[in-house]
Parts: sequence; C-alpha cells; structure tokens
Amino acid sequence: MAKIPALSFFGKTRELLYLQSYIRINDNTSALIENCRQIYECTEVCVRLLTGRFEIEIWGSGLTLSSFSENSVMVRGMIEQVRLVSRSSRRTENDSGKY
Amino acid sequence: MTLGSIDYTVTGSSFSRFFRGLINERMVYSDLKSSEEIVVMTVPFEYSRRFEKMCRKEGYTFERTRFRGMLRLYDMLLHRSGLIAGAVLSALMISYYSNVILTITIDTDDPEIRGKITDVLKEDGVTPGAYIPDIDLVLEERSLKSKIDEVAWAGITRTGSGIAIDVIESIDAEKGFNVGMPCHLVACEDGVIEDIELLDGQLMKCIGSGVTKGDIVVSGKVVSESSEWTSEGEVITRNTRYVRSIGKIRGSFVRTMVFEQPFDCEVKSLTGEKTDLRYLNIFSADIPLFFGLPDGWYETENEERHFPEINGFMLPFGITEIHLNEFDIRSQQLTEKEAFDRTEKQAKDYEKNFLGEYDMLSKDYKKEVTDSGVKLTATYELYGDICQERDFFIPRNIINDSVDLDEGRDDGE
Repeated sequence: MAKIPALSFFGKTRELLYLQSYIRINDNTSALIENCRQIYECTEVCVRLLTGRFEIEIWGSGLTLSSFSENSVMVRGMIEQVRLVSRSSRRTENDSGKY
Repeated sequence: MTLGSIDYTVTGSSFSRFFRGLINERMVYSDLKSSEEIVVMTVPFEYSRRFEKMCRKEGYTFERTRFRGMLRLYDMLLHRSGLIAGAVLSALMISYYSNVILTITIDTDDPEIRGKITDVLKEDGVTPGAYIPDIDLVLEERSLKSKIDEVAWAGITRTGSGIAIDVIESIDAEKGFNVGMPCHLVACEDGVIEDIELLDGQLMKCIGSGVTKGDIVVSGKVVSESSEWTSEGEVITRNTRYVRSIGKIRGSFVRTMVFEQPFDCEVKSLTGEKTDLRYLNIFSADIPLFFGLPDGWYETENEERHFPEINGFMLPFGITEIHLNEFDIRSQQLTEKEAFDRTEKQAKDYEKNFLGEYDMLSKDYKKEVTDSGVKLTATYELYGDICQERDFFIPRNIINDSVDLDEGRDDGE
C-alpha cells in the first residue's frame, strides 16, 4: 500500500487552484461533479467519470447525464452507490486507459 | 435554453471519442443516456449546430427525434399561418392605434363650449384617427384659447391613445354699472311724436313735433334757472343737473324696404339616388368601411348607430350607417308670379322677425318688374318706440365744479 504523505505539496497546490474534483450529492437523486475531465461510460445503471485524481463510478438506476457548464456534469436518477477509485491505484493495477 | 432544445439519437460503435468530444467542445446537454450502440441526449438549440458538426467530424450519425420548448411552438406556428397573421396584424394595429387619437375627452359641462372646442379641433385636424406625434399640443392649446372666447385656459394631455382637454371657462366680467350715467333719449326713426311717458330728463320736443334720426328728444342735461331780485338788480342762478333720461317716446313713422328676386336662380333637386356610408366606431374613432367618397352632392337623410349593449351598457364599438340622398343643383327660370311669391315670402319673414315690436298701422306693397327680376317695395307705417338711450360723458372740470358747489352749499346751510 502506498504511503500517503502528511503534507502533499501538489495536493495543496491543486486545492488552491481549485483543480480538485468537487462532488455534491443531493439525497439519492442527483450528483454534481465539477472538474470532470472525461466521460467513460453513461448507461442507465452506471456512470463512470474521470477527474484529476479519481475515477468516479456512480451506480444506480435510470441515470442520465447533463452538462450545463464547462467541466462539470450532473448525474440524475436513483443513485445507489458512489465509488471513487484513485487513478494511481488504477495504474498500479494496470487497469486504466483502456476506455 | 430560450429557443428550446432538440432531442438527438446518436448511433455509432464506440462512444469514447464522442464523450471526449463533448468535453472538448464544452457542449451543453442534458438527459444523456447511452447503450451499446446509441446515445440519446437533449441539446439546446443554440448548441445544436456545434453538436451536429462535432458528430460529423467524429463520424457518428445523428437523428433529430423531437423538438422541445419554444422550438415546438415555432414548429406548431409554422403549420398555423393564421396565428402568425393574426399576431402580425395585432402588432400592426397596436402600433397604429397607440399613435392615433381614439378618444377625445373634453372636460366641460357646457355643451356649447364642447361644440366650439370640437369645431376648432376639427378645423385644426385634431380628430379621431389623427396621428398624435404630428400634433403640437401646445399650439393646439393656444388655438383653443385664442379662437374661443369662452375658454380662459386650455390644457391638452395625452392619455394613451387619446387626448384629454381640460378647460377653464371664462367668467363674464360684470357689466359696467351704467344706471347712474347720464344719457339722452335720441330719435332712431324719422317720425312724429304721439305719446310721451317721461320719468326723468328734460323734454326737448313736444307731442306732435316731428323728429329725424339723431334728434335729442329727451336731454339728460337738465338746466334749471332761478331769478332773484337784489339791490343790484335781477340775479339769475342757473343750475345744471345731469340725469339719466328715462321714458317712453312713442310715435308713428314710415319704413320702406325693398325685396328683390332675380328670375334666374339655382334650386336643389333630389335625383333619387341613395348611398349608404358605413363607419366602424371604436371609442371615438370613425374608421370608414368604404373606399373614397362618392362623387356628387349629397344630403344626409338620417344616421343610424348600431352599438351592442350588455345589460343596458353600450359598448364603445359598433357600426354607424349614414344614409345619403343625392341632389343636383340646377338653374331654374322663375315666372313673374313665382318671383313675386318669393319676394312676398321674404317680406313676410322680415315683418315677422323685425317688425314684431311695432304696431303696424298700414302696409303697402309696390310691385315692379325689372329686366332681370322683380322688385317688391314694402312701405310700412308703424307705431312704436322711436327713441333709444345714448350715453354721454360729462367733462371732468364740470364734475369738479359741481362738487365744489355742493360743498359750498353744505357750508352755507
């Protein structure tokens, strides 16, 4: 397991430059994801998005995707599960960049 | 999404390039759902061209499946041209009627002043249907004030598609108090005095004397003399008093009038042709429902106004029908008898209108035929008032002298 530093210089920089991914979830009906870089998949049961450091998986039913401003998407539908997978761990598992 | 949105169905094999394109193009969309081979999404109309261009560039086929919002309305309107025509017509009518006079409200209770104001407005072209921006309301106010004596002040304000005229009526100045002013009774006819009723003034003529126009019959300057014998002889004191002559001076006089009628005259005769004019009335506006007035001369037979009513309340729009009869003016050659009949009618009208206040002692008509017509010379012997009041002014120095005299007399007493 990778060691997480107590104070990450890049992490602080990303925070100050608002380059982190911001996720806001309203009940189980919608989720707004900002700083989204890529859409991998958008089916009725699963939406997979790529942000700066994470791959976000949203599971549920009747999911739809909307975008009203730059680099932000909104997932609507009945959300059951949100999973954040670190891109670094994905690379470690050699399971990225194939979409 | 002011202009509405379009539902698209995009087909392709893999949509990773498509999703990347959405992010790169910063596309705005909603309700995106994808399955194995199709993507369903809604794109605003403003972004639809960019979206379609992106699809073509990335090699995806798309299909417009549905229009939403305003686009749906536009699509519906395209198939209902009547609605568009009605909207355009309404817009044109609104723009037209907001700039023309529909109502003229005159704030006065006096129907005579109202009529005069209406006439002046009509004369100046300020009538229902007139283009309001072309009317200088300040000039019109001045026009009303200068042309109508009864209007002391006038203010015109624009009230939407109408104008409101507020007027302040002039109050007649109190007539000069002339009861105390001295006056003569002056003859206004050449005649003989037969009866005198004198209340004040100095009579200058007696019964039976003849007077001509302008003679002073009763003078307002009353001069009285008193004589007194002293050691130095007779002292005559003359007092002058100025009064207002009051009385009735009746007498008989002769008045001669000449009435003429040419043989050639113009008469108005109806041709039997009838025409109807119809106007659409909206508030005060009379919109003609005909193209051009018919040629010729017409007189109005009657006017019918058809306005719908709801519970006795008349609605401000309807139709006015004016029935016209055509007439022709043609020259007519009168016979001698017809011409004399007309002169006699003129004489009768004159007697009725101007000689009613006199007693007619005798009347004589002398008929004469000239080259172009006939002449009736009427000689009336009348009895009545032959004098009228005529004010005169006393010189200031005389008034001052008389005041001094009065004061001296008071002191003596």
